[in-house]
Amino acid sequence: MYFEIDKLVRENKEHSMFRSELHRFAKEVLRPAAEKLDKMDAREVAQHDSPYFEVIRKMKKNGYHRVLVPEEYGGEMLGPLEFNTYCEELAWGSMGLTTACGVNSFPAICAALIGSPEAIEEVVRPFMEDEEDKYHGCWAVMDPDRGSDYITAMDDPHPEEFGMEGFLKTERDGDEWVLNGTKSYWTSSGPCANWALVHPILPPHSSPQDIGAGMVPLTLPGVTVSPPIDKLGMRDDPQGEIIFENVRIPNHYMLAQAPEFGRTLVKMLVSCTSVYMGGMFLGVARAAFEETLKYCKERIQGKKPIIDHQLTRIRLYKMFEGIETARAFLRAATRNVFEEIFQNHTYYQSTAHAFTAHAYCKNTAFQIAHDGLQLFGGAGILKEMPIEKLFRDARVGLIMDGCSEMLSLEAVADMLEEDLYTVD
Amino acid sequence: MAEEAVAFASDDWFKAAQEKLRSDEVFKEATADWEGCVRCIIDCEDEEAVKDYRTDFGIKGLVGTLGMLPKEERLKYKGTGLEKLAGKLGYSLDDEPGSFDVAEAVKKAEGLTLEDFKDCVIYASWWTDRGVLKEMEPLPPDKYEDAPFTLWGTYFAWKQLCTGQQTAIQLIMGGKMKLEGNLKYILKHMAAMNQLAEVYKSIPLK
Repeated sequence: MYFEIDKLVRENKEHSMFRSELHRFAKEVLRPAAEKLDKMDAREVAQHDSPYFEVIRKMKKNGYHRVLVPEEYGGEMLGPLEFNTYCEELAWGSMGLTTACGVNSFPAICAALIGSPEAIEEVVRPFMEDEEDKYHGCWAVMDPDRGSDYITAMDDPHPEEFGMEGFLKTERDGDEWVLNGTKSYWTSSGPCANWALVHPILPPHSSPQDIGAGMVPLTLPGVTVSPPIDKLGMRDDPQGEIIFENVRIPNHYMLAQAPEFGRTLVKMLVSCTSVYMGGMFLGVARAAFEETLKYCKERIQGKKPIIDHQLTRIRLYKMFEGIETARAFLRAATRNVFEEIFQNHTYYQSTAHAFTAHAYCKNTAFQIAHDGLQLFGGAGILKEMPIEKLFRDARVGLIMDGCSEMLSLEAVADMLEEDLYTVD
Repeated sequence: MAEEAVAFASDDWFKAAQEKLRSDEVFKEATADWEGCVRCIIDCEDEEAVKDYRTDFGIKGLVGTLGMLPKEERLKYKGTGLEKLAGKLGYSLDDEPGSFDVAEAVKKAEGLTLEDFKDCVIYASWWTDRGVLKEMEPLPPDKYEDAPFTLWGTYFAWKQLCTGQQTAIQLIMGGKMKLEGNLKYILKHMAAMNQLAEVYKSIPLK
């Protein structure tokens, strides 16, 4: 745990209780399950009797899948500060399982934001009421060989030059939309889900900016879900490919149908996920820092605990600086996202700040895990040491959901476009 | 005293909207740097319009709206689906609305189907200039064709917007409304559009 520097937050008893409960859940449920899942074969993780599903059900019984949906639709929408705390504490336990719980509700979250009343009644409410994990969503956003293109095409002055090959596409046919294409193996919870929020390219298919959003039951004819991939880190978050061959969904399941608003949609959604990811990376960073602190106090080298050596202290200082800075900045970026998207519905959030907070938090998490591992020395590379898993999870995190480099480029593009800084 | 409910897109509705937009301080603040006219297109070819225009208040409202236009502007609806619909209700664009027999029209409206609403469109303006309402009224079809913004929606979609059931972004992204104009400007001023919808929402509808 940590000392909360913000006095208003520190003295808020309700928030303290909320944070304590999340931490307890992370420590007693998420961490042990994550350790087990990390050692399992990827295919075993996605089996129905695996601890993965048991944990997801427990998270749902606690209502953790309702945190980004308004109460009027059956959700339990958190405020920005509570949301940051939720992400940080749960990811302290397991970034993979927290990611899985998040994407689980993505079809409902998107429908609550931009869907019709029919979509809300038919999909959002059942998702929110569900505590048995009968509704298990995923976020099928990436297309094969098009990872960074998804982000960079949004700010390119000639997006049509990216071409359309490899993108999932959709066509309107009467009262239905027909989907054809593949969403890549990065789809978190893909191998375990029965619903997906997908992003196909809408007619006229002129560029990646013609992007939409739709909810797809993965039990429909034409859907093929691949087995989970075997990966370096975040092994407790099963990811896999989903193929769509002439999959038909009703018109009201295509939540975003206006290609001219594709860019707005992407920036809005990725700003939300950025503050989500930022909070989770903060949890990983803090977990790595705390493990490192503990080890540095116990490990004796050079006639004293290594925490008494200056070089160790310099490293610990950088970790402390990183976490506190990341937390403060992330809170500000999250407040902006919540105000503009969830409260005022302007969808005019500062994407630059959201992406920067995300990039900063994930870079900080990796740096802390890396330096922590170095301080652990030989012990750190043992599979039984928590820092080993944290390092792998943080490393994967530098790439997933927008690699640091792409997020940085997009943040700058947005900063320049919106004139966030001007010269007097 | 509770505010009296009015028919959507009726003359009473336009007048109520004008009054509220002129006096609402939150709206003035939200539109403090908004410039430009929005040409609103209400496409009545939908079941919600059929339902409303079979009622006495709906018909009275429709004729009242047409009556808000000076005769020479009203006559520009000649040859359109709106003129055909009005004709089926017994109203001629040449007539002033005062003499119109609503009870007779309701009897005629019983047989109306969706086919009778083909190409039936009402045009209206919303024009606020730096917090001051300039216009919020029905238009002839050819006015403000070069307006900086055009917002098209079905009658039902407009009602959903004006009753707060869905926001403008939800309706536009969901394909139920279409927006033309400087998208970036609109997004930057979405708070203004949302506040406009809040004002509309405060007008009780029959």
